[in-house]
Amino acid sequence: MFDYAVECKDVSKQYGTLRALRGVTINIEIGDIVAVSGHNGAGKSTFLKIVGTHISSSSGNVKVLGNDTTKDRSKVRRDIGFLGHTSFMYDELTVEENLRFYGVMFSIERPTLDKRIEEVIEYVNLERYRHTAAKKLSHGLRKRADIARVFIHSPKVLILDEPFSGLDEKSIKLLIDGFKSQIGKITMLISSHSFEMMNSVFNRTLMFSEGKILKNDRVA
Amino acid sequence: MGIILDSFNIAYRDILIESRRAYEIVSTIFFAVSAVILISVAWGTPISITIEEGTASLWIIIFFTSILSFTTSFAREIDRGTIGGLRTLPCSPLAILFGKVMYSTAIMLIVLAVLLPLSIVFLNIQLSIKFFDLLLILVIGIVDLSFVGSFVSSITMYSEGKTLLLPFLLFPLCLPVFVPAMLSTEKVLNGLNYVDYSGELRLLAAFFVLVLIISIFAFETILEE
Repeated sequence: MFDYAVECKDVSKQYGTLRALRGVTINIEIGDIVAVSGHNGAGKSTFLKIVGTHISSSSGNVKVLGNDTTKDRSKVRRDIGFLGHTSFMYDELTVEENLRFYGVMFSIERPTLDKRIEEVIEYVNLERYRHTAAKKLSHGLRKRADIARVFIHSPKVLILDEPFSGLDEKSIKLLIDGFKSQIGKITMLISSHSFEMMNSVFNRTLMFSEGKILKNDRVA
Repeated sequence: MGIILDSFNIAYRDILIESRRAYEIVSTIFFAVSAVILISVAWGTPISITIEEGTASLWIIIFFTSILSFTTSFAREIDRGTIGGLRTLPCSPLAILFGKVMYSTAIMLIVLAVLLPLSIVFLNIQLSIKFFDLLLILVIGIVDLSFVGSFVSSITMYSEGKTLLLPFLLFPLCLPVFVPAMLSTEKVLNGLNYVDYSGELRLLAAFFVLVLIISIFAFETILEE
């Protein structure tokens, strides 16, 4: 059995001469909702991408729910939902077709997938737009469709890099309420520049600076 | 079995996207059609075109038309940011490459379906001689070309000058496909038997295996950001 949702041991990442991460060691417990903060270039996105298996670390070791992100990449990806800076939705496909593609790739059987699509579309309040091509959605609606994608395979660990960028207050509130309903069920790592609206959600904060963890506090 | 199913799903998605951008496939077909007619006019009367000239022309058109498909293959994923979505998938990285190969092959087979009848009229290609042998060679050549092309497309996708870099890299790397495919087509059209062109087919198969081995070792790293 594994003790932590995410275990990072002495993780570094180097891009040419630039050291984006410098020996980061951190354990994130199952069910933690972690706010990942820091200035631009502090290393938070690099950290999230390494945990999300989008890039490999230059040195060190990362495990997600006991699986090594380099050796057991496929298993790790089944447990993770990753929301990046850019949308991963295909312009020409409708919201439903996009979700179906990702669901099928996660080997979800047809009847379960149909039900799951209903659930995630309802979760992000996109019922009206399920048959609309992604390219016709506004930035905020597209972001919500992307969040539906993240939830399609019922991940145990959520990695959300700037999930609120470009969203209006109403959409942010909708998402935060959604996140609150997941407390205790899944582990979340959320990076953002503004956490004011989410203070009631986090139980832990990580602050990055120059590739290192500057603060690692538990919120009471 | 899983890898084939995953590849098929990725190819299906790409074809679905392509069907919503019908103008792209139409422009590819239009390019092939105009190339056949222009080459035919340049040679003089179609009846005077020899088997060697007709075969070379056909493969040159297939090669250049395929570049149009390869330039969008991985580049579109990068330009739209959806490459990140592919990185979240739990499938083997090779499934993504194979999916792109299937997609390019499908596009090229559609082009071939238009190109072949036109070749009879404009390039003096006699389909009645060993039709199925000819079709087999064309399909094998196109699959090989799609494999190399998709792989090169993945290598060049991060480059700003990818539309320039792709044909530059593709030209020398496609010669091991281009030459045996062209020679075997020539032999079939000259009425020779399988034993006479089996050497070329073995070369095509060997090159396929070589690119496959390189892909197994390199593609996961290429796909990483």
